[in-house]
Amino acid sequence: MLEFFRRFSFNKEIFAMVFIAYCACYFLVEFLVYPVQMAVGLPQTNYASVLFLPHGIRVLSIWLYKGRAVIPLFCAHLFIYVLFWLGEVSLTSLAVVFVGTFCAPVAFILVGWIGFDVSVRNTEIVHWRSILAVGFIASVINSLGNSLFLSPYIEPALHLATVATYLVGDTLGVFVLLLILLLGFRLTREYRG
Amino acid sequence: MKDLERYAQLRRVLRDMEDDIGLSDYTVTEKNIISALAHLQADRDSEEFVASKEIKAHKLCSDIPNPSFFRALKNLLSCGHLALPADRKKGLYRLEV
Repeated sequence: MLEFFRRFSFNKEIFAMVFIAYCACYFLVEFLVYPVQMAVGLPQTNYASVLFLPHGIRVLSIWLYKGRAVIPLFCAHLFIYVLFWLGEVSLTSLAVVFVGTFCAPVAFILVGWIGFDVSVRNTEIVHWRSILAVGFIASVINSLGNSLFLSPYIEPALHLATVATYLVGDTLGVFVLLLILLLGFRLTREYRG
Repeated sequence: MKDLERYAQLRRVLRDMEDDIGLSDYTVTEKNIISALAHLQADRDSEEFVASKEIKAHKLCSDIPNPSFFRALKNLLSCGHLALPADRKKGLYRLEV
């Protein structure tokens, strides 16, 4: 029991980092990606993004911090949902927040159950590709959950396109976030040396 | 797990990605040294230094001729990718995060 609480224990540094990173990525999507999608004229823009960076934060934060990232992810999801979407906390919005929060931890658990080790100690795998693969599995869980709870709000003709956009957008979000971090570290290295 | 270890984990993954997608500036020898050092550091506290003998004995570096090995070590040191202990000029190395 103690081990359970220790695993999900609150850490203010981790909370701040994950919460701020998630919100910052969401703002990037809201103010950069969505306007481009609207300009291009994608009809499912109201429901899904083709480049959803916050999914990268979900996957990376669970990979790095495991259970300790769950509380800040949940709070960030709830904050963003209330701010940008329904404007109120309903059962649907809570359900979507739960799906978004837990899709990454569940994906890592499923991958662990089949015996696949994505930690850096496993020298047999290419780690960034494994993280991307887990991100895709998390995206499947997320898109299934969102489709289930948001189906009354999505036009029937756009259901398939919306699910496809979730899958592409979430997985691309993980890849692009890793790329942004990679380029950021390269810039820091060049600036220092 | 300490913050530095998590940061080192993330850096390792990003270095692998850099190498995999072709953005890496390292030679093959330098990549092997970095990978060997990363493996050796993963088995112990990541703040500990590793002796050059141990890096050279690692399966990724054992076939590298000595001159190439030490030239690559010197290169990685001068670029800031490796660090030495404060009181030494050679012999012990650590990946610089």
